Amino acid sequence: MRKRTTNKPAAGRMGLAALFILAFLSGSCRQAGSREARDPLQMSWEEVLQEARGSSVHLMMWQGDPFINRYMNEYVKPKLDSLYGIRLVLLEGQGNRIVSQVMTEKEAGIRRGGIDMGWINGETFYQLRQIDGLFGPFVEKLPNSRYIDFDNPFIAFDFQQAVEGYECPWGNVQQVIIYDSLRVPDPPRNLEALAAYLKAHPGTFTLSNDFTGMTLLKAFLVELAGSPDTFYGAFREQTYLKYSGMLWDWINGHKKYFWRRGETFPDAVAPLHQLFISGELNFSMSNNDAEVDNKILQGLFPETTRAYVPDHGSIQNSHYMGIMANGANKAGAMVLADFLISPEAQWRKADPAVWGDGTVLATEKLPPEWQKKFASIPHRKYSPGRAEIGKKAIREFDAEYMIRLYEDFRKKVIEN
Amino acid sequence: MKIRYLHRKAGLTLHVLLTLLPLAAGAVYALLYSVGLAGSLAAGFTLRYWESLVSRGTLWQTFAYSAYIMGVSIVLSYASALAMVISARGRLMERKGSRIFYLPLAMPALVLAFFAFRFLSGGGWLASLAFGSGLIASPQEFPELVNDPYGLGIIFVHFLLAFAFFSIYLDRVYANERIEEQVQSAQLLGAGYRQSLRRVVWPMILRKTWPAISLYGLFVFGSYEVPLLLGRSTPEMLSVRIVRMLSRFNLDDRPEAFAIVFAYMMLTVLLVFLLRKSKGGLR
Repeated sequence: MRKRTTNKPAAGRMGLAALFILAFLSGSCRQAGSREARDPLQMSWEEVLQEARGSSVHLMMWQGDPFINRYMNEYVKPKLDSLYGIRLVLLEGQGNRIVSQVMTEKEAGIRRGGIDMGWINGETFYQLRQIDGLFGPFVEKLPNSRYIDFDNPFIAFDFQQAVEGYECPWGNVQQVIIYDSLRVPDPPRNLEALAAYLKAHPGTFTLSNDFTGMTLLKAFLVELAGSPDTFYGAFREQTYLKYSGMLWDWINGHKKYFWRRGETFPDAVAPLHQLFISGELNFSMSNNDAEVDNKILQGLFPETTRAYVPDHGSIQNSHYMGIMANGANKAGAMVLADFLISPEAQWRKADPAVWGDGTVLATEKLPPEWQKKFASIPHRKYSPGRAEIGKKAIREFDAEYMIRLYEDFRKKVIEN
Repeated sequence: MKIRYLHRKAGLTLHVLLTLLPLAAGAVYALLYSVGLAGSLAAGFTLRYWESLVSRGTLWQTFAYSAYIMGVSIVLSYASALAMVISARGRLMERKGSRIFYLPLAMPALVLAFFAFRFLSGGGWLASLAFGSGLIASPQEFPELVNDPYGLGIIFVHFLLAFAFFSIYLDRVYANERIEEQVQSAQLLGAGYRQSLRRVVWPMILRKTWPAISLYGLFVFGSYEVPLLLGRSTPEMLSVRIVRMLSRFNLDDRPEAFAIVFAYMMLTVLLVFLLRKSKGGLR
């Protein structure tokens, strides 16, 4: 009995303490969420600049490349500060991390999220649009957007989905296959030649089980179908089943000649590069067509490394900056986006010694002095020229193709 | 007395608030998510994510593979550490250079995994040595020791970590429980060396260290970085699979990932509960 009477107040105290802490936490959350910012879409650009001055922008982006990091830290950050009084905070993370955080914040009812802007591509754009995670349409509001050619389908559509001002194009790239010209003097340029190469050199080729690998599979689909037109437009189940069936048959028929007999695949491009550098693989691949120049300048790839686009072509796509619908500093993010598409920022980024990222600006729309500057960008030494590979550029397919390729590659190849 | 009592209760409250409450909330959220009642894309109660998971054999494969890695890593490291502690008669840590056992424990698992990759892969240091000495003609000829079908690379790293941990821990238990004195007493009473090991040392040490073995086993079962770097695309260990499903392109996969999270949490709770019930278990 005594025990019970002493426990009751203790339990009460525990409950009160718990309630107090919960009330404190929920109170703080409400307070943080109650500071509503003005909608920058309703402001003039001067007002947006004024609103953004003195603020911090949290940009989540992939930070796996020293060139890109240097560009952001040593050029974008100080420029943004000196021109607009904005402090740029870089957060490490890419597509799935951005989606995960925005989803979690949305589900928790957090209206002022931790990410203002994210570096995204079609995959992430599709997911963020699914959950209404993107702010916009904001791109038309950016003064420098007048230099972008929105009639270009490689810019106006992301995974066949109209961008509609919900993400700002930042760069444009095309997939290339990377090889060492010493080890592979004559790289295979179609599936038939690849099959012959695999049989002669087993264990020296594979693809990554990620966005880059699936992008290569799309190019394989195009070769099997004979034309990319087969996959343009909305997703068609019959088309997918027909050509993906041929693709899985081809891969399963040859996977015994893949690296590790096709029983496992590197889960990202970084380990693929690692295997290429160590000599286990004779090929790697990248969605950045200037990757070879970058990696040779970084001392990672040997100078005999080259890149090419196979005869059937490769996917060209743009990468973008998206502002989160629950971002706390939308005005600051818009100013950052506008700066990133400024002629100067795009020109600097296009230099292979800086990054080598293709510009999204239609250079003919630029003032003459900038046209000259863009024309004098140093040429790539080791990567193929953009104009040359651009002739074999394939547009991204509907996002559903990517979803199905991911699922079926696991079910029909990895787990088969 | 009253102050001490209040301190104890405050500690308990904090423990509940900071550890148990978030865990319980996480479990409830995972369950609701897995049946379509939580999350941005929730569309009402459904069991289809659970049915899809159960019908797909790969879920059981994931649990079985995680259990296999856990079992082999723990048995190998525990048996090796125990043999060494017994041969040192509980004075392992008094030996010169014994501090080296702390080294693997001080390193993040990811660093050890990376070291193992550089050491054991086809383009790694061991393969380079084999190539240099003419044993192999190309990296492809080097035996698969990482990203291999048997999880050898993963087991190697977990062995390094667990062996160091068990060596330090068992040495302390051997000394604290005065096992050496018990062995001598048994031998004075006529027991042989092997008999004293089997009847005295083994039962005493196992009873005392069973909770640590179980908790360490759970740690290995749920490990992420090591299998991520050294494992293969299939079979996957549990955490790798969960993270992959959570970050997949198709957002419809997230409820299935939460279903696995919930099943894993329940398995952990069950194990902790069984440990508390068992003799010499958690207290």
